[in-house]
Amino acid sequence: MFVTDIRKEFYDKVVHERVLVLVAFDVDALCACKILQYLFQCDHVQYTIVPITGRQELENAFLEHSEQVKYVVMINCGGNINILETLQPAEHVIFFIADSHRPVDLVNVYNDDQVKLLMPTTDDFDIPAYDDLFKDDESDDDSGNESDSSAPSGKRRRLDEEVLERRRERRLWEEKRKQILLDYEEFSTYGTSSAMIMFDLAWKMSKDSNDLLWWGIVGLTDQYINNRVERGKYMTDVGDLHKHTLRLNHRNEDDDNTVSVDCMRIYFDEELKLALYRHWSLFESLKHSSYPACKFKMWTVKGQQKMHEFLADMGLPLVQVKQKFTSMDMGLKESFKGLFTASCEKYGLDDISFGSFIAQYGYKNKLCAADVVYAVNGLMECVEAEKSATGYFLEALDCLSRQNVKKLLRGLDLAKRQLTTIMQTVHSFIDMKQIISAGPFLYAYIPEGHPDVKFFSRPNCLGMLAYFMQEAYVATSRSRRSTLLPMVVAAPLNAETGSALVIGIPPKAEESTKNFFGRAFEQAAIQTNSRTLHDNFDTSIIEMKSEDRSKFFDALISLLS
Amino acid sequence: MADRTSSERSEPFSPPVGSPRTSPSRGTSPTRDLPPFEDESEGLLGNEEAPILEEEEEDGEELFGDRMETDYRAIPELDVYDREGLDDNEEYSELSFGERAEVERELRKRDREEGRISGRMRRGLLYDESDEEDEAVPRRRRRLAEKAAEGLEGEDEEMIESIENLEDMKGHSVREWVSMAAPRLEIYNRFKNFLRSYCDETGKNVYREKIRKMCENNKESLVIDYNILANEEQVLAYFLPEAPAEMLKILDEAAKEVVLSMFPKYDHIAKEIHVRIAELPLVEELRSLRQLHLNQLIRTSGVVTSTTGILPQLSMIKYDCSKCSFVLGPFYQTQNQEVKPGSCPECQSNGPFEINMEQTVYQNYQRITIQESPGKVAAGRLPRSKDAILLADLVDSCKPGDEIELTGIYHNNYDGSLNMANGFPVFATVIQANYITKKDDKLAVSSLTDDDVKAIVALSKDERIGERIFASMAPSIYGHDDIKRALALALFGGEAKNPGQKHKVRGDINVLLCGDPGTAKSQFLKYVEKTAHRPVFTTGQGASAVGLTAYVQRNPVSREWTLEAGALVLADRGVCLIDEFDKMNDADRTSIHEAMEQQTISISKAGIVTSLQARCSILAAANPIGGRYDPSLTFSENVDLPEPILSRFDILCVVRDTVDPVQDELLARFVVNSHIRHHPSNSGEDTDGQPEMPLTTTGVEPVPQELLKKYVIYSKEKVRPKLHNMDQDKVARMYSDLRRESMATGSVPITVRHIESMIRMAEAHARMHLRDYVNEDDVNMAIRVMLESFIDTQKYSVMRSMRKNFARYLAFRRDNNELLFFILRQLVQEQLSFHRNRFGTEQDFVEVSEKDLQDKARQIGIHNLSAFYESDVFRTNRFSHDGKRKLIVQTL
Repeated sequence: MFVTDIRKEFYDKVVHERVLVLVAFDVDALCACKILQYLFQCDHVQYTIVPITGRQELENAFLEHSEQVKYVVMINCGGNINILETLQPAEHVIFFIADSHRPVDLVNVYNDDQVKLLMPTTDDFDIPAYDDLFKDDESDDDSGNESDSSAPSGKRRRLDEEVLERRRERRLWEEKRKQILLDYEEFSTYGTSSAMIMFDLAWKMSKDSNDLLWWGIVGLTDQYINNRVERGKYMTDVGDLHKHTLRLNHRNEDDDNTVSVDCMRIYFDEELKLALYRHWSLFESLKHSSYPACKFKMWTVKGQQKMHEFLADMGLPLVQVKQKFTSMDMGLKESFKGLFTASCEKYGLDDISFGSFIAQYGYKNKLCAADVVYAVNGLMECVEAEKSATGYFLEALDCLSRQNVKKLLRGLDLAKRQLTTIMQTVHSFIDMKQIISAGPFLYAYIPEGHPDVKFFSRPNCLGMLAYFMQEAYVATSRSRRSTLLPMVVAAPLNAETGSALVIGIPPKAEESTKNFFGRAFEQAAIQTNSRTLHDNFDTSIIEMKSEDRSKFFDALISLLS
Repeated sequence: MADRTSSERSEPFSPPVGSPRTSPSRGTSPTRDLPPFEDESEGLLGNEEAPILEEEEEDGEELFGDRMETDYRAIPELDVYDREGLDDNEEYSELSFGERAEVERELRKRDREEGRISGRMRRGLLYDESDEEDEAVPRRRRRLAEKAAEGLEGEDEEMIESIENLEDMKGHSVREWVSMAAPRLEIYNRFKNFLRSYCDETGKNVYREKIRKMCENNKESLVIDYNILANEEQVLAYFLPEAPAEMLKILDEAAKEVVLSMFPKYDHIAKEIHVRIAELPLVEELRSLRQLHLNQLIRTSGVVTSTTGILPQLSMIKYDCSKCSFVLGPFYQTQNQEVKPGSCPECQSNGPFEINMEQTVYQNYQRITIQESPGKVAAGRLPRSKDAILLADLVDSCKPGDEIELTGIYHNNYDGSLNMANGFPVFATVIQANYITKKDDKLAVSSLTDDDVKAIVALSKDERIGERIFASMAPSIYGHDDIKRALALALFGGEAKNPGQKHKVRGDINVLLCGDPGTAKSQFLKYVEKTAHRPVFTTGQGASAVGLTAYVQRNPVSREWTLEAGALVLADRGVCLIDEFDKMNDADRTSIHEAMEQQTISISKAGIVTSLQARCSILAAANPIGGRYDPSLTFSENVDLPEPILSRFDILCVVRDTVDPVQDELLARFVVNSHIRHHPSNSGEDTDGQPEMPLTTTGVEPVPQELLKKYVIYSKEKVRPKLHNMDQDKVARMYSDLRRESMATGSVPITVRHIESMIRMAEAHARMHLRDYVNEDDVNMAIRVMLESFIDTQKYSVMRSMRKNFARYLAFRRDNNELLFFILRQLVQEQLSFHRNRFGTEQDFVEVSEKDLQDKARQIGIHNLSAFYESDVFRTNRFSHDGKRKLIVQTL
């Protein structure tokens, strides 16, 4: 059931109870969690946060805590699975689900008592009508009786006709239901970011502040960077947030001298699609960001020359560009964005800028939302085995707070490493022509012995790699069809158990975020009897045994072509 | 048709007055590619076109050349009218003005078409595509239009009438003429036009491309080929050497404008653009510079002997008036004297003035000394030297020891002390450099193009790339496959490691070649010198301890102690080749111990305590004691090298000059063939008649040398092979076996270093295949090379049994045929010696029983010999198989 008044129906209910918060491993969920945490802290609500990576963990976490809690909040998880069936909760447990994964499971939608969906009604759900999906229990019982007990023969004839009629109807209805379900579940997409929903809640409770707004922004930007939101929707959401930004930051515009060290300021600005350039050098950033790198074909000598030419055209000296951005010449630092936008058209970088937000606290820390996303992601998917996954989750959660700038800086370093690795991998794959067009989709497999294999055993990083690779392949390939091809990337997950992580992403030409790989993977797995594990909340990410890979992909090819 | 009178004046048929050259010179039309100093007879043929192209005729021809004098010699045959010219004469005189115009248009059209065909017309012009259509419009007007179209501010430029015939200097000297406003502007425009419009044969706009390249790299030097300039703009090319300082200034400005029109914001990156003149035709020896060359552009060559540090030189200076603190200036400094203000315009005081440190602009300044190359000095003379000044971005473009070609302005400057010494005014001279090229710019990774990379990757996909690379090492040397393998591995090198940044483990592979004279040891080294990256070649006698490492020297100028790098330091990240290693003093040789294992050279002399990097692999060649290798002794008994140094070599190659009639004949034939093929005047057609000899013994196609060089560079740069799932047991077993054998026979000591060697070789082999991981093959190959090297060093008596022990390792990658051939040769040898001892006579042929061979083959697990009988190896060595008699026959 959808919640219409999020404050009354959700917050006021849980406010005096103990709450279990289950959070998925992505930046958006982290931000939402952070906002919720703040609200709970204000009202002295008891809560437990449990980070979860997949369905299995979801069940375990619930089992562990089910005795103590009555209310469970799920962030970016659980929306697209049948919660009641999976978790078998007691009658009194109520779930609140804020999940950006679509489609939402229909049982969750039509359950009035136990499942409450925290999703804005403005989203486009296309939910099939109730009657098409569920029939009264009575008929079910009837048919059950019918098949079980054979009625006396006297009435049989009349009954038979009736039954036959009913059965036919039922068959028709069932076929229709199947079709509807099929249509509904064909594509997996994403809806409004959970962080936005949580910020909305905070706003409605008049508890919004710049910090909360910033987390909302980061959550939205995460969706944008990981291609989980369409451009149009992003623009409208950014518009909404922009209004909040203006509202919360207007007082600073009166006189400039009010900026103090603890004050946080957020403002809207055009941002370049250059990852982390404020904390790196422009040169490195240009090289490692997927958009300019693919436009210039940075992996060729010619591409590098082109980039140099581009820099010369803007009048940026190489010496300046190659040094840290913070140490760059002041004049250039201020003017380079204008130079970029002036020259980029000539070099085919038309979409290099997008609207985003910048936060500044104190004099020193100027952060762009996209950079924070990279940093948090880098921290969350850190490959060093010092801590457990939960440890890194908490670290990432911490680094979102303003006080923990040091952690964020560490995250930035990790993010740089991640991007460098991705770039190198893409480079070598393109060089060695290891991205194969398998017919209906593009396919790349990261071999077992690859030095950076541990980076790609994390779903988000693998996702970034997949998008980068697809873009690079499209840039190099001559055939126009390549933009219409989706892409599948597989990487070894665990050498000991011999499992691999497989991710599917929609074609580049596709405007929407619709992804049909979830179902396709499922069917291919069933057809070939592959040992796969659909554990991730993203249905387009699965785990499988490495040995089954070839037959699985053969089946996938025949399925899609 | 603007200039009617001038066209009349230069009618081709007017009698030649005075110089016979004036009229033919008019014939330089853009349709023909005439060199600037051309022969009269050629010019005469161009006569016809002269009136037509009158308007375009500003370029004219070189009037003042070296051969000016010869223009006035009597040439009777030229004083006669041209035959065809005479024929048209009447027709022409009848033409009315209108008709004439008609004909002119006609001819112009023809010209245009010709131009299009010959491709020398200004085709593919980027700035003015419509150029050909309005050829009818005089060029000058077009240029003005062009200027207008580009929207250049041309107000004052328009005021000065541009000059049609720039070469007419109206009695001024070149220098004066060039500094005048009008010619200046004309030169400026012409050069700009040249930069914009010059295209090569393929229609590519050369300088646009060059400017783009320059901007990509943020450079500020634009290299202009003088010959092209001379072809296109003769007058500029004539003025340039005569008044270089003034001309270059104008050209710099023009180039800057062109650059800015392409990259409007380039002045953020480089304040100035320098035009560099390359390929100046005349090369003067340093020795032959005379008064005549003063203030001219010259080109010379020599070796850089010393360079000063880089100093900031005042370029644009501003002064503070110390009385009213008014900032004076800017004053632009010239090279030879300081410009100073006379009095302050504010307070009229005349000083004192202080240099304003903040606003003054400096430029880099360096002085170098070049000396005549040793080869060019006439016998018995001392080489002369000259100072040169490098400014701006030329600074540090060469270092002492480089052989350079220098283009620059030959200046004189006043030197007080010289006057004192001579007692009357003389001037010291200095060359102000404009362009420097190093004689041997080695190719580096950055010079690899995309195509090269593609070719390299494609090559690496070849399954037999390993063998192909082995085979292409020194292709003009026959046989010695083990040495070639060793050299190839050394060229590729292993991977240096640095555990915990505390101590380094070297990755370079050291090789020692030892053997009989005349086995091409030095040739191998010479080959590596030509192929490897950063090679340094020395010989044992010619190198001293400090010469190899580093020496401290008192700088003759600054009187300070300075450190000079020796051969090993110069070969950092390269290869150091040492010939005649055994002839070296023991004391000298020990000095390289550190370099060979730690790869550093530590110095503590004269107050300088430092450690220099010497990450090079060492390839050395040595002769055995007494000149010949005695197989009955072990290696250490054979060479006069101490144990510490022997153990530092990864691979020891023993080359023995054995007598084997068949091999010797093949070798002889190979050498003769090679001599025939590689004769300098051999064009390659003569060899057709002769049977093509296989270049290699293994029969694979060698890799072209240029590509090989690039391949090595690429792989060294890009591939970092890692050990992964290496077969540790195998290496361990190998090591303990080797150690045991070594203890027993006492030939060369086997130490832990040899395990490292094996790893290095495995890495090198992996790198050769552009693999990121060391696999089984690599390890096997490393073990094989190691073993071969080890077994070679044994006494002859032990060698045989050892070969048997290690046969399974040795057989790796050697195909069966080769193995069988080896066995067969042993049999033949036995048979031969048997005959010699038994009958004392030499035979014409040797017969070996098939059964013997089969038995031996079965021992190593080969059962089917028929393929071997068919193989090339079998046949080229003149074996034949007699199936009926079950014999194998070799004719000698």
